[in-house]
Amino acid sequence: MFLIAQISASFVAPTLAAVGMTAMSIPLLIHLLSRLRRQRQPWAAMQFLYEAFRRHKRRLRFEQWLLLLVRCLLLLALSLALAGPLLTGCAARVASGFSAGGRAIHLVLDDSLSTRVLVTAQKTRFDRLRDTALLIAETAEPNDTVTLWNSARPLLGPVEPVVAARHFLEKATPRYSDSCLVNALMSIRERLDGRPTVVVLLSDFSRSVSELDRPLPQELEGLGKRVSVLVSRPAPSASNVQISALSAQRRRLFGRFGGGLNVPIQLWLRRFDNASGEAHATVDVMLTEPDGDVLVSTTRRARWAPGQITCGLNLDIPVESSLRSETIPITLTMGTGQPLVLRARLNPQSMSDALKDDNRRTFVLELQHQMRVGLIDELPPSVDMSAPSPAQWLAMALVPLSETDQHPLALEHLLVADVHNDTLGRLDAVMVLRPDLLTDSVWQRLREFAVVGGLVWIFVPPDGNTTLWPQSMVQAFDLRWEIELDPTFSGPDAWELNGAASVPSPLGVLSADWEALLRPIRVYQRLAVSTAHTQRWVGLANGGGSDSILAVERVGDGVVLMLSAALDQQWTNLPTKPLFVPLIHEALHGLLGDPGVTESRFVAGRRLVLGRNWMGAVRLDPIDNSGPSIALGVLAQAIEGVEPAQTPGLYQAAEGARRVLAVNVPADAGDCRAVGEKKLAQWLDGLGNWSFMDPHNPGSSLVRQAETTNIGWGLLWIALSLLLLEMVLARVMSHAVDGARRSWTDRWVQSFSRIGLARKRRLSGPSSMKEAA
Amino acid sequence: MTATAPPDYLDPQTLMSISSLDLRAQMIAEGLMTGMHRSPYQGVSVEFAQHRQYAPGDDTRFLDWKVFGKTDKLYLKQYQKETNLEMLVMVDISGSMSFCGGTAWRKYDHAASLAAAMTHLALRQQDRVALSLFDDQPRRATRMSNRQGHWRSIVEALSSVQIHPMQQEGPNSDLAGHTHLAQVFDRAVVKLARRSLVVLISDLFDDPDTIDRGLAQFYHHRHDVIVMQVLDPMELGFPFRHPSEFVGLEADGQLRLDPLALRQGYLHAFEAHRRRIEQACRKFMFDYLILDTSRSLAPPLSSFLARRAARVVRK
Repeated sequence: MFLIAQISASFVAPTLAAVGMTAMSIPLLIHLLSRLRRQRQPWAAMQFLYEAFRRHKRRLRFEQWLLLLVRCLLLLALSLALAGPLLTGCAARVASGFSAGGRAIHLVLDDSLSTRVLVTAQKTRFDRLRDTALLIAETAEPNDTVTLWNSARPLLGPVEPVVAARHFLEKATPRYSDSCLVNALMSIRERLDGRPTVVVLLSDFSRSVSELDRPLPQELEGLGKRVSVLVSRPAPSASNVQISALSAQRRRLFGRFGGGLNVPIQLWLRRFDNASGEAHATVDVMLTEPDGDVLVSTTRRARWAPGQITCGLNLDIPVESSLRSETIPITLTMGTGQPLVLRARLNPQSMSDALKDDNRRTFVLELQHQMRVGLIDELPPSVDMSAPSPAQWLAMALVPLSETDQHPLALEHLLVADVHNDTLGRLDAVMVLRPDLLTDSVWQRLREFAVVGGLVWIFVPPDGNTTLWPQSMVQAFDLRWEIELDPTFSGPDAWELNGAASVPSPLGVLSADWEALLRPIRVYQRLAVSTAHTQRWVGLANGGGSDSILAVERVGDGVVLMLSAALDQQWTNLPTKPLFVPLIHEALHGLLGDPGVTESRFVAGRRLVLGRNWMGAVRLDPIDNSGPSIALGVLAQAIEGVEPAQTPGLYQAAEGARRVLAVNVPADAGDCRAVGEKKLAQWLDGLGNWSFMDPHNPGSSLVRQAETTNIGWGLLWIALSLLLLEMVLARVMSHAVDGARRSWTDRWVQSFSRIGLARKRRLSGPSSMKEAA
Repeated sequence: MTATAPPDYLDPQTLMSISSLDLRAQMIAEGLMTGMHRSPYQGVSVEFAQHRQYAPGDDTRFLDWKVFGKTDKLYLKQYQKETNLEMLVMVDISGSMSFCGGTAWRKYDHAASLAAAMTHLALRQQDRVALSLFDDQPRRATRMSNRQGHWRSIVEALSSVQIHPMQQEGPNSDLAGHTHLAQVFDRAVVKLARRSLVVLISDLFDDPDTIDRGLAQFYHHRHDVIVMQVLDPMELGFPFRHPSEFVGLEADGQLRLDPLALRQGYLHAFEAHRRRIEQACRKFMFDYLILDTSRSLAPPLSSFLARRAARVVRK
C-alpha cells in the first residue's frame, strides 16, 4: 500500500500513469496475436524465400524489434506525459535545469482591513497569514530568493532578501485599506526571470477583495503556466457592521455659534451578515473641534428590518456655542473658516461585529463668519427705488438694510476697474451685472477666482448691448454653452418656467415649494442659452428644449452661473416674486458649501487629491499623531499627496491655509464575508494552473514544489519525436514498399479516409454506389 | 481469310470449367487451328502415306480431288516425310506443381492441358509422340508412337496423376515428390534414340546448374528443347501483405515471416534464378517460355508449332 501511495504521489494523474503502463503492452499483444493469427500459406517457391530470408534475417529482426520498441515507448511516453510525472530531488533539478540557481518565491501577503478580523481571542486573520508566510520563508532553501509583497493599497514594493522579509513579517501589522491582489500579481509578472518561480497568495479572500468579481486582466492570463501558484484557502465568513458614509449637506457653513445654525447630516450604516433578522445599533454623533473637544453630542438609534443591509440616518446638529468656542478667534484666510469635525461612532450592541476599525467615521466642516459677495457694476448703486437697478434688486435680496452688521453675508460693490486679484481674494462669490464691460484680463481674473473655489454669477445687462461678451465669457471659462448674441422676445405670451423638472441638489431646501415658486415667474426676453441637461438648473416650460434660464457649470474648484434674463421688468418679473430671495441665497450657500465628492475620496490607501484652494500647503500632519505625515506636491495644477494616506484620522495642513481633512477607512474593505471556494477557483482559473495549500501544513506544499518537477511537457515532446521516428522507420524499413506503407499513422489516416468515403457513398445514394462498384 | 484473335477458350478461366482433359485438349487444338490462315503441318514428300480429313486452314493444294469426286468428302494426301518427327513431352508432377494461387487452376492443370493439346496436334500430323511424367525421377511414361489411340493413353496418363504435396519435412528432404531434374534428364537422354523435340513443362524449381547440365546433354545429343516454365502469378509477383506461415509443397519446411519485409529479397532471388535458366536456354539456342497460369495458352502453342515447323524445314 505504501508503495502504491508513493507511486501515486509521483504523478499528477496516477490513473493515467497506470493506463500508460498498460498501454505499453498493446504493441506486444498485437505482435503476439499476429503470430497466433498467422494464416498458413502453402507455397511452392520456398527456395527463393529461404534464400531471401537467409540473406536479410538479421536486418529484419533488428528492424522489427526496433519498431516494436519505438511503438511501445511511444505509447508509454504519451500516457506518462498525460499523467504528469513529478521528478523529485536531484533528478527534478536536472530536469528543470536549475541545479544552481534556486527558485524565486514571491509571497503576496494580504494586509488589508478585513484581515484585522479576530479569529481567536488573540489572533487575527493577518496573524495567521503572517505565520504561514514566515513558515514558508523558513522552508525556503538557501539558494532560493524570497520576495515579499503586500496586497493592501498602496503596494509598498517588494521586500527582499529573505532575511529582510522575515524581519518585516515579524513587525508587520495589517493596514486599513482594501486589497488589490491584481496589482501585486502584475508587479510579480514584470519581475519574472528565467528561474523557476513560485507565487504564494496568502489572503483571507473576503468579499472586500472587489477584484474577485471581475475577470483577471489579460496580462495575467496564463501566468500559472509560467509559474507555480499556491493559494491559501478562503477564511470563514465573519459578520460585521460599519458606518459606511458620513456627510453634511453643506461642508461650508456661514454664520456664528448659537445663531440658530444647524448642520444637516446624513449617516449610512451597513451590515455584512446574512441579514436575515432584525438588528439594532446606536450611533453617537458629535460635533467637535479638531483637537477632539466636543461641542455638541447626540445619540441615535438605528434599526435594520429583516433583509435590510443598509440603514440611513438623517439628523440636524445645532452649532451651539461652548464656553471655549466663544473664545476661539476665527482666522479668515481667503475662503477658509474655522474647522469643525463631525464624528460618528457606532455601538453595535447585540450585533455581531468582527471589525471595530470601521465603526468610526469623521467629516470636516468649515464654519465661516460671513459670506462675502462682490457686485460688479458700471456705477455705484443709486438710491432711487422707484425703478430699482439690477444691483439694487440683488442688494435688497442679499442683505436686508436693517441687518448689515450681523448678517452672515457681507456685500461689496465693485466697479469694473476695481476687479483685481487682491479684491477678489477676499470674496467668496462675485455677481457680474455688466459683463459687456469686462475686458479679457478681467475675464481671466474671474476665471482664476473660480478655479480656486470662487463662485461667479453672470447676469445679462438690461440695456441689451449686442456685444461679444457671451463669447468672451464662454472662452474665458471654457464653457460648453451655446449663447445667442441677440435677445429673443417671447411675444404676447410670456415664457413660463419649467417646474416639473427636478430640483438641483444645492437648492434642495426649496424642493417642497419648487413648482409653486416657479409658477408666477414670467420671462419676456432672454438670451437663448443652450446647455446640457445636467447644467440646466431652471429651464423654460414652453420654450426651447435645451434653453436654460439659469445655467451652471463647474470651473476648477468653483462654479459659474448665468441668469439668461436681466434683472429688469422688461425681461422678467423674477425680482419681484417670492422665489428671488431664496433662489439667490440658497444658490450661494448650496454651491459654496457643496461637499462634492472630494471628501469621499479621502480614504486610507488612496492618494489624496486636494482642491486648488489647498495651494500653499506642503505637508499634512496627523492631528493626533496617529500616523506619518503626508508630503504634498503640485501635480496637474492640483495639490496631491506624494504618498497615499495609510492611517485614518484627521490631518492638518502644516503650512499655508489652515485646513483640516479627514481620512476614513474604505467602507467596502470591511466586508468580511467569505468568498466561496468555487468562485475563487473560477477567478484563479484565469491564471491557468494553481493549487490550494495544505492548511495544516502549508510548508509541505512549497517543499513539494521545490523537490518536484512536472516533466509532462518534456515527455510529450519525446512522444511526438517517437511518433515521427515511427513514421520515418515505417517508411524506410524493409517492409515499407510503395503503396503498402505500414506506419500506424498511415493506417489511421487510411482508416479514417475509408470511413469518410463510405459515409459519403451512403449519403450520395445508390447511383454513386454503383459507380464506386 | 483473315487472321482472327485467339479464341476465349484458350484462356485458363474457360478451360477450368471443362473437367475432361481430352476435351480440353481438343478444344485447345481446334481453337488454335481455326485461328491460323495456313496449317503449319505441311510437308513435301513423294511417298504417299495416308489420307487425312481436311481441316480448315489446310493447304488446298494437297486435297485429293479423286476421293472428293467419289465420296464428296475432302481428304488430304499425306506423305511419309511429314511424319518423321519424334517429340517427347516431359511434364513435371512434383509437389510444387500442385500450387494454385487463389484459384482451382493448378500449375499442373496448366501444364497437363498444354501437354495434351500439343500431343494432340502432333499426333494429327502423324508425329511420333511420347509422354514422360516426373518429379525427382521419371514416374510414368508412354512409348513413342503415332498410332491411333495413343493420344488416349497420353490423356489417361495425364489425368491419372495424383499430386500429393509434402509439407512436413524440412528443406533438405529427399523424398519423392521433390523436383530433381538431373536424374530425369539423364534417363530421358538415354531413352531418345533419334533426334527429337523435347518439350519440358515444369516450374523448374531446382538448382539452375543442374538444369544447365541437363540441357547440355540434350544439346550434345542434338535434340531440340522447348523449355516451358509454368508459374503462378503469385509466384511471379509475391503479392502477400499480412504476416503468414509459408509451408513448402515439396517437404521443404515452413517459414513464418512478414511477406512485405521479404518481398524485395524474394523477387530478387526469383529473378536471378529465372535469368540463369534463360541464359542456359539461350546458350543452347533452346526456346524458353514462361507460362503464366492466368494467361492464355495460345502463345506457348504457337511457339511450339513454329518450332516444329522450323524443325521440319531443317530436316
